[in-house]
Amino acid sequence: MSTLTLDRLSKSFGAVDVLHNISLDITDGEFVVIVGPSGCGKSTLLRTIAGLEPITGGELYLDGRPVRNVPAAKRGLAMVFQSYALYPHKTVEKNMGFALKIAGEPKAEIDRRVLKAARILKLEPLLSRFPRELSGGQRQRVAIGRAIVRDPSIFLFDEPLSNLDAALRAEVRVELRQLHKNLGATMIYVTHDQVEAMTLADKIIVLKDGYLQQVGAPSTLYNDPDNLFVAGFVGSPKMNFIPGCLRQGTFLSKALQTGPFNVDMDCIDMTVGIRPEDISIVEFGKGNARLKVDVAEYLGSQTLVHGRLSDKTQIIAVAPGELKLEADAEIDLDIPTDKCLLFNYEGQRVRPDNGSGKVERDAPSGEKLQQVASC
Amino acid sequence: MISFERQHLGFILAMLVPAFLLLALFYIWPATFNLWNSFTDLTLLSMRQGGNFVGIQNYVDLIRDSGFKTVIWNTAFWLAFVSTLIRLLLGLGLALLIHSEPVRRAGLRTIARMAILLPWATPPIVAVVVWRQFFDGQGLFNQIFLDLGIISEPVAFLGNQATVWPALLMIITWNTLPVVTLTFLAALQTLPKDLFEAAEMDGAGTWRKFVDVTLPHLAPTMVVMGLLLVIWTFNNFVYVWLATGAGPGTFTNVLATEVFMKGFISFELGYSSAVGMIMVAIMLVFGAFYFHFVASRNFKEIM
Amino acid sequence: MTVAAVDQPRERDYASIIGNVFVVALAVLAILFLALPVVWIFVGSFLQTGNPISAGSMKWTFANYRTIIENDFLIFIFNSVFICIVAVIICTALAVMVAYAFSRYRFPLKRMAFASIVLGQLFPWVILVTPLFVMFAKAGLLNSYVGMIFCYVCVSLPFSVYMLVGYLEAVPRDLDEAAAMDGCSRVQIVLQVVLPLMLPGIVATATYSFLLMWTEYLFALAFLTETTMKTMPLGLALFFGQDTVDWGAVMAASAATTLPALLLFLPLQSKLVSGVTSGSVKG
Ligand SMILES: Nc1ncnc2c1ncn2[C@@H]1O[C@H](COP(=O)(O)OP(=O)(O)O)[C@@H](O)[C@H]1O
Ligand SMILES: [Mg+2]
Repeated sequence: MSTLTLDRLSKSFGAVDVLHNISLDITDGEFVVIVGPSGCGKSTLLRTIAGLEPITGGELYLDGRPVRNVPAAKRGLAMVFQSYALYPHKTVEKNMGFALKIAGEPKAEIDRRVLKAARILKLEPLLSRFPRELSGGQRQRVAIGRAIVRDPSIFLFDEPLSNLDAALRAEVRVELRQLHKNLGATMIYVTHDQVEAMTLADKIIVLKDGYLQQVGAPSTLYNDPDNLFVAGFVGSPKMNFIPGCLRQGTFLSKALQTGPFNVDMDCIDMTVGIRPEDISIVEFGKGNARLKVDVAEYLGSQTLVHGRLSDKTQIIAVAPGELKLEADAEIDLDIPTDKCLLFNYEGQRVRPDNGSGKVERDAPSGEKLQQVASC
Repeated sequence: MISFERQHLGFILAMLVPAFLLLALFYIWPATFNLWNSFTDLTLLSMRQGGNFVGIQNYVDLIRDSGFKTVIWNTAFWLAFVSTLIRLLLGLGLALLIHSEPVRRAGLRTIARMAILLPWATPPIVAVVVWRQFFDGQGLFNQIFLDLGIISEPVAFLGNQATVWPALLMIITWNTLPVVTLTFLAALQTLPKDLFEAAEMDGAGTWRKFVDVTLPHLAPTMVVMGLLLVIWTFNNFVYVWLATGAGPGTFTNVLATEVFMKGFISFELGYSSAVGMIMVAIMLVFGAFYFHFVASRNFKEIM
Repeated sequence: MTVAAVDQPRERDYASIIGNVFVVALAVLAILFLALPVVWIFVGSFLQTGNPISAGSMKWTFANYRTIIENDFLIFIFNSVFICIVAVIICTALAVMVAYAFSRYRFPLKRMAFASIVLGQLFPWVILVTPLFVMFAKAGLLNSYVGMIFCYVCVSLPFSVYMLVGYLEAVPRDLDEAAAMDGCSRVQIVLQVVLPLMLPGIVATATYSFLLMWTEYLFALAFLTETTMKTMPLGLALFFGQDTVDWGAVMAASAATTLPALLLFLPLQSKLVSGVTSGSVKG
């Protein structure tokens, strides 16, 4: 158990910069999930923490100690690989005990700890088998078991569930959460699946193209995203985005007019974000936006209504229960102002109360101001 | 793959240096020595004081020498071209034969696969020896042909200009056909079955299926195999040397035997080196092809 | 109409039966062509004349083997076995090291290093003979084990490296990393995880090297002139007289040279075939 600090950590492969100035703190006992679309550098970040990839800039501190030049073998972390990476020529027992054997622990101690981990993961009957004789789910447990046995200061997981089928994935997710509670260890977990991130994490780190997007609790990311990317990435179905402009605190577009927002700026290029579950379908003529329905998907407890506003913006709205709608039907939506999130032309969140959305900072050109005035 | 870091340099060097030192000593140093010699008139007698620098005289002599033209022709036409063509065709035929349904049903497939290993495991010198006995005056072929009345008196197949090349190619073919056949067989085993079924649905007959499905599937193997066969045979010294000693006379002399004879028997080291450099130049061309189109593609990940 | 309708398929049946018989007959001929010379060697080695078709030869005898033994063949066997085994061990060890670095590490000039390995496989050895002869003469390595072992290590190193890189690519790099996380040093990773997993590949490579060396003729011919230093392929050539050939002895020596190769080949065949397809094994 320990803390981990990244200080402006960067990583490049030759001329390709993969991670840019990542700074963050991970405190003792936290379950931290690194999430982002595939190729954004999650695995690379985890591997730099593990010591499998050297970092090319910044520093990495384990319990306050810089570990930039400490090789993986000496960092005392354990990693569960996406491929599990079990040694094919060793039995489950030998796989789990290997690190202790390398560390020169006495045999009795190795046996005791392997057995203890096996009991936690219900692996006892499998101890004498080889990895090829196990199912995918069992291999996955062994991989976790191998990490537990070492009693590491931090557990690292690289998409450990991605090779399991959906049902098993949900099951192991719950078990991992329990394991974390029982062990109380720091865990850093990489996934591209935002559902996994939301359900597992104490703290989520969102990464895109090697840039840190936002760090925060799942509810923070859901309710109070810092930018368009995080807003769109977290939550399912995805948040709706409606482009338009902001004038004297009112959001204006061809399809929607809503306000007032407590924002002291005019801007030609503004986006409103609204979660599908915050949109309600109202009696015709009573809404603030009109939707032309493409298709209605009935999911049992709710119906997802896909459609387009008059300016062709794609919208998904969630209606409770079953809602029968023809294609091309027109319905009215209520998009409540207090649930709307504003994003400026850079995709950054414009929060009503703080001063982050000042006109000077946004600095639209004179021509743009003209357009704002006329829109 | 572990990216390059100063801290790994020691380990990497420790892994590479012993092997590459030996290889440099064995390949690069002699090849350089050879290159230098090819510009001198070094002979055995002048070994002590070293040869005189004669510029490109050896190469000029080569080009003027009509015997060298025969050597080039023998190497390019008989060894590289004809022998490769024969083995590709026979190898493909044999692979198709072994792969065919009737042969499988007759229970011959396993036997054939076993039989193929026999020539492969036979050392080249042994292959030459046993075939020399077949071609001998009292050998198998003379007996058969005499009994059948095709010939009236024994023929020295390997000592006769009319028969020596076919006989030589027979030896080479027998000894090296297995590699070709097994390679084609391996490729045949990976034939996409659904492609065949699709062709069948399209109403293709056996011949069309062969031309449109089997052959295109085998084509890359064929090209790689052809390239390798050319290189191997081009470099090979043993078959010609042991079977005919480049004879009768110098009738079957090829580049490899010419290098050996000029260097090791008549001790014209300068001249022999020049012939050798021509071999190296040709090999570099083939090698570049091979590296670019085969090796570096097989091992894309490590590059 | 009805007759034709009945006859047609029948005719086709006959045609296909004849076709099948033809195909099977061809296969039998091919098998004969492939197998006969090897059978011939082993049968001939037990016949006085060494030639199964020469008149009055059908009397089994060990005389040929006695002849070759009386003519130092046991020494040739020892020389071959000793040189090849030592060379195989050195060659394979060096090749594992190079292949591991190639497969797991990036380093400058790697592409060039790999290209030179590939070119080494294709190099015309015959041009090396004279320069090496001069070098060996100066270093006193003619007619020596050390000289031959050096040659054989270098002859089969490029093949071995190429083959082993192929086998190493089949050992996932994740395992190296898992071992690193488990606290293994670089050397421990190789010895405890990578080597055990590529053992079959190492065995195949070593066997292939052995065969390459076992049957080598050119360098042996050039550098081994003393009878007591000769290897089996050279010893076999000794029984070719100037004008006459002692076929019995030749066949016995051939059988003795071929048998170990055959025994090593059989278990290895499938591995070698995949090696050929990737271009790492020579015919
Ligand atoms: N060893 C490497 N060499 C060069 N580029 C790499 C290497 N590993 C990863 N990359 C690149 O870095 C980026 C991030 O990769 P990765 O961390 O694996 O993404 P993720 O795990 O988020 O899917 C990708 O664009 C990938 O191509
Ligand atoms: Mg990844």
